[in-house]
Amino acid sequence: MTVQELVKKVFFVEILKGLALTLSRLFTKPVTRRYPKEKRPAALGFRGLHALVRNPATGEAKCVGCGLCAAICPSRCIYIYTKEGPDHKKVVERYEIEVLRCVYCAFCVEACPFGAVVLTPHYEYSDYSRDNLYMTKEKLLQNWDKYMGEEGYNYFDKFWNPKADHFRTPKEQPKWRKS
Amino acid sequence: MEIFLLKNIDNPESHRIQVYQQTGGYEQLKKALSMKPEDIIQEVKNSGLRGRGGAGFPTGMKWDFASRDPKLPKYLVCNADEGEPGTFKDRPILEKNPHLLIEGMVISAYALKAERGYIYLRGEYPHAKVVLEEAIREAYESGFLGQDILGSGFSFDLSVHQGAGAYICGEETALIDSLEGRRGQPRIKPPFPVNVGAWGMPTVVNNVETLSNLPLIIKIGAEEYKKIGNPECPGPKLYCVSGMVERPGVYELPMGTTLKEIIYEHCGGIKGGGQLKAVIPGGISTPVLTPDKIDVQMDFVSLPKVGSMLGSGAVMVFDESVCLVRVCWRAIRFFEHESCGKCTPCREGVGWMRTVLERIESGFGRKGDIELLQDIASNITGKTFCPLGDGAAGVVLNFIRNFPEEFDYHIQNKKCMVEA
Amino acid sequence: MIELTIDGKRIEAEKGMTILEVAKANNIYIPHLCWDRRLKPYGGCRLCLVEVEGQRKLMAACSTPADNGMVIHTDTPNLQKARRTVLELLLVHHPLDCPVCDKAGECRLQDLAYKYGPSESRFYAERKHDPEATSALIERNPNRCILCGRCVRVCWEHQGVGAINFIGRGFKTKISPAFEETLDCEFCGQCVDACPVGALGAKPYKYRARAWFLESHDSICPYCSVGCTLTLDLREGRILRVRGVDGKGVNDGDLCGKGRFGFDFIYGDTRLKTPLVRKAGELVESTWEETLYYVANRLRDIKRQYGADSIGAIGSARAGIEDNYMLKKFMKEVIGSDNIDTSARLGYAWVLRALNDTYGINQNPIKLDSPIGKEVVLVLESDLTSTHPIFGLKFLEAKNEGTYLMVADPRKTKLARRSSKWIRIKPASGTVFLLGLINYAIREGAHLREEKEIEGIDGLIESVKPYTPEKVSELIGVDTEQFIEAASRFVNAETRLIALTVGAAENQKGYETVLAAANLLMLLGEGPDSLQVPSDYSNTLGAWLSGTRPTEGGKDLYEMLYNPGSLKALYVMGEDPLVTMPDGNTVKKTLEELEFLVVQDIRLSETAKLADVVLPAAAWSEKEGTFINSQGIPQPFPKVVSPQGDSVPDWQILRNLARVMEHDLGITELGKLREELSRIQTDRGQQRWRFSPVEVPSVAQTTTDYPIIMVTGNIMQHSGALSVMSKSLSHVLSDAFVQISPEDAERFGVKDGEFIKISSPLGEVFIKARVSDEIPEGMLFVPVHFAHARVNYLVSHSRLGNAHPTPVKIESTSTATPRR
Repeated sequence: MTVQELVKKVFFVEILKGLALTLSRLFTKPVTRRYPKEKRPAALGFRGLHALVRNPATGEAKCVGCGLCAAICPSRCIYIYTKEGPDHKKVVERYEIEVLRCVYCAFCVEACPFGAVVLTPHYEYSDYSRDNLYMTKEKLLQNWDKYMGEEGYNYFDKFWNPKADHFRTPKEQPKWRKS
Repeated sequence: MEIFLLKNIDNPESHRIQVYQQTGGYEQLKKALSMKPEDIIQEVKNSGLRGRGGAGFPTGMKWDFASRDPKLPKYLVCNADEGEPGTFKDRPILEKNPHLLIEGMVISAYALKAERGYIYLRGEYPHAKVVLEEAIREAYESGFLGQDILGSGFSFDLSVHQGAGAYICGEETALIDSLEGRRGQPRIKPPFPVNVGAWGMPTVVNNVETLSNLPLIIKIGAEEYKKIGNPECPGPKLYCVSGMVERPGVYELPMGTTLKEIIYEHCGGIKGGGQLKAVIPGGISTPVLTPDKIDVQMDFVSLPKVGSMLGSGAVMVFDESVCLVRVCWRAIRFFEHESCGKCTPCREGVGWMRTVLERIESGFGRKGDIELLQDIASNITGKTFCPLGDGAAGVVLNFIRNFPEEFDYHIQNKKCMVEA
Repeated sequence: MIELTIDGKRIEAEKGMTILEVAKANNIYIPHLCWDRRLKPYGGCRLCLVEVEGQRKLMAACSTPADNGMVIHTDTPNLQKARRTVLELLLVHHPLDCPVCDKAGECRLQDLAYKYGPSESRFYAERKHDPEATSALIERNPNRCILCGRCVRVCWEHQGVGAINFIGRGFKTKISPAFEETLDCEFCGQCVDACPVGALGAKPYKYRARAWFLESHDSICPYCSVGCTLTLDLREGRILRVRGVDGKGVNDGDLCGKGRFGFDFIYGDTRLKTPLVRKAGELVESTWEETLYYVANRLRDIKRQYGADSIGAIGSARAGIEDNYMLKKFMKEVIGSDNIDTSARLGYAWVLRALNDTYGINQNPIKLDSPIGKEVVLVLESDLTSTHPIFGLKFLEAKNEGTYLMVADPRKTKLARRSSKWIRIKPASGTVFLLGLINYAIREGAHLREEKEIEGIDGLIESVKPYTPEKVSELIGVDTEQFIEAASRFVNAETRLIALTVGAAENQKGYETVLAAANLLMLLGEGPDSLQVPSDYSNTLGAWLSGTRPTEGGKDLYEMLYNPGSLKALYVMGEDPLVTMPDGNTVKKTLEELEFLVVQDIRLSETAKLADVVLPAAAWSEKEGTFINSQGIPQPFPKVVSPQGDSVPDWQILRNLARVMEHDLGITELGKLREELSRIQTDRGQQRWRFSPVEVPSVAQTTTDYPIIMVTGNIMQHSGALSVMSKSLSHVLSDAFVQISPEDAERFGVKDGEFIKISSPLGEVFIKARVSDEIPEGMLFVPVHFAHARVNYLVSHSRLGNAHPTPVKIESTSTATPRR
């Protein structure tokens, strides 16, 4: 042990240094959040609770029941049941997600050709009952209204580079008629 | 040269059997019935007669194939479905000289040992139907048709079957389908109709003009016949000229008359003394020719050398006042309308070409449209079931190749070169 | 043999094969859309283009015959470009509605576009046809159609119908029934399987599931005795659709409407879910325990009181051989009675007896492709394309390949329409026709050609003496010339075949007919292979072979059902005698006089409504089992869905009942049962030919009271009384009808669609009339499938198995009971 070390030990230099840092922090703003009271907004593209996109034109779900989300889902937690509706259109009778089995990979969102399913920024949905975490079509549409709403439509444009446009009907070819 | 096919054409009663017989009609039939069928086929082979419908297949060979097939009965079908735009060469025969065709058919049937014949008549020739049926009735009455013709023991029945207005039925297998009462769509070849044709039996399908040449061959013999026109494909040929000439119409000339002679001598030159811009030498599906190539002989061997075909011999003349993009578009519109819908490239591709041409012609052309057209057309060529698609693609490719500046002008200036 | 090179591989092939067939046989992939194994090459899609060295043009592999020394390339940059263009062109008009199209995931166009195609088209256009949504079972969406023509050709060339064709031309072409009407055909659905895209779909499957949600199981069709392999597509334990898969099963991918759409009988409304016991005259729901004890006690009581011989059982031609064997075992070991039989007694048993009396054999399984390659085929008064559709197709195939197809039938059946020669004989005169042929053959000296002397030839010659061509042609109602022409064709052929059906539902053929046919064939030196008589239902032959018939002198079906009072208790398993068997009055009387009737069925049938106890059985697909088809092939089918309600497989019900009756049958599981079954020896019998003269059959005689002859039979969309449970099949046809000729309709004042009263000495029924030129004058045709029509009440039964067409009287209801 050298003299220098001995002096440092006797006069608690290290401890004082540490306390000085502590003292300095007393005068700065804290970085932690008091979570239940203060909530952190999720970043764009956060994978939270599922929702079904509402078609602004009809007010119904955009989903056509193509089943690609269910096909790609690695945990097989999406169930879709379709049927023939009035005027012989395809209607989605039930669209159900078993949230507890979901691994939040968002493959379903990527696979959807119509941008009809989405993971919302909402992440606080723990519950005492499993049943409440079995999302039906109605619940999923409510999720959209609650957690995405109007601004949700921008979400796809901003984040997901919409694939839906690829399926949009191109402009009609110019027609020419001569009398 | 003596006019043969269009003999008596100026006589308003030329379709009557009396008029026909007065000028030596049905004499050749008597001569033919005294020959052996095999000899007639040999004579036709020697004469070098080639089919006048467009492909120019040697008639003697076709008959030879059919007569070697042992299956009976055999059928003889006259292809009078003259649907190609610009073609009207058979019409004078059908309407003005039907007995020549009937005589030719009876001779052919005798040579082929066919006992049943049909004239598959174009749906748009209602007058020809009336004339033909009357002529057939007259021939039956005079004993040139029916049982035991002229006491030779040979029987032949003939009737007219009118098509329903489909261009594709000019293709022989589609024609046979239509004749059988089905939807006219081309069949897979082989087997060829000479072996498996109407109702599965050997069937010879010949053009009106081809069959009308038969009496001449019998009359003057193969050696004399060979002396008419180009020795490689001899005989009289009907050229039907339309478009911007002073005297459009049907001309019977020896095979191998030059295009220049037809336009400038027989037809009296370009209408109003205008400048020649383009000529289609053999009906709409044959490649277009530029004015520098009109010195060509109009026959089956010379035209291919300058990149075109004789086809049916339908000459269409365009002068300076004609917009060739519009001609091209109009032709493709015809092909689109007449595509039977069987094979994909023709059904979808021709429609696609029509739309692109339509937008070029109407001033909505885009950059790259010409390349697009060429790409589609080259992808149709050689991939369709029957020659209809090839024909359509060929029209587009040839017009673009020969007159690229017109297309460019249309796209760049959004208007027509001619109107400007 | 020829040798050619494909993609550098040297390949040997048969002459006459196309390039595509050679490539397929050697596992070389050439894309194609319009080609189908069963059809003539069409060459429309132009996807199968290949490069042949020395050929300037690309050749279509599907329609170019392979030739010796050809060098073929199937995958070059040039070809890929051609394929890409073709696909691009196809996609021009193909709507990209894959997300809602049911074909997505198994769509050939989708696969090919993924493999070769461009990801985007340089061109876009839209077709604007109206999808058809009104048809009963087949949904057409012309917008998705790529005009490959497979549906059109399968319908015409293979199925012999021609319900659809191309309309219009160019790219306005669409596929449609005549005059763009609603599709109204036999609904075999072959076009649905043939369609490579989603333009044709099965209506019951529409929008029900995506292709990747489905799991597939192969099963055997429960309807007719052809025994087609069905590929069931299930989602979450429910059968959604049935497909025929190329290369699978005896049918090789072909299916009829019953097989394809009729599977939903297991979801029928009338399915039994719990045991029912009659209490105070009403059938009330009960438990298995209570019911089985009740049945056991009653059976024991009756056995004690009247003896074991007073108890009988009827097996099922539609239950597996396991179930039928178990019933036999139960009757033999627990009850001690040999009174057991099936509906085969009314039809197929006569066939076997006739074969035994002539050829000396006990079994004669058919061969499905027997008509192919024969010179002359005679189909006698049988609508094979309705009763055994896939067997029937082989006759059309043979015809297409050059066989002379002769059909002797009063009805203008599909085979008659497509035949080379249709002889419109009088109803039920088939036997006379055959006797006439025998007479003609003897005149021609056919019996002298064979060196082998067959026993009984003199008797035969004597017995057919009266049947001179003149007499026969008068009896069967055709020109003598026509008859002689047909006879000469048949007798002088190199190879020949006679096909007919003899079924419980049909009343114009019987023992005599088969006997006459066998005599004729023996006379011409043909073995039993030339006589093709298929058994009726999926397991008619199986039930027979597994011993569900009296083997030790017990009572047969006739003695049990047509002899009121002979039995005291009857155990009916999976059969509805009140609907499917002739002379309903007697059957009903017999059943009502029973002391105890147990019906074990999948539904509350007409017979079950009379029963004291009704036991719910698991249906086909809800249990494992085995059918023996008419070719004699045992074909097991799996359990794929769970039984409805409390229903239990038939053999388990019987095992449980035996346990309740304190008898151990030694069968605990299906494996044991099958092991025991496999030990059954069936005796095919040695061929020992002898002629058996045919008794003069009674050609149906009309009287002034009963002036018209009624013939019963099967129709295309139904089979027995089972298929009426299927909602899909009922969409096509759910009501009974009687076909009547236009001449008779006028004569009796019957209008199309009105109810008419038909009466025979045995009773009267009211049925809707359909005026149809399929029927000749003097004949009525009535299908037997519909319980409410009670057609079988008019038909008499016969102990001798003779043809028994029924003379009846008809009255128009508008004149008989005028309504105001």
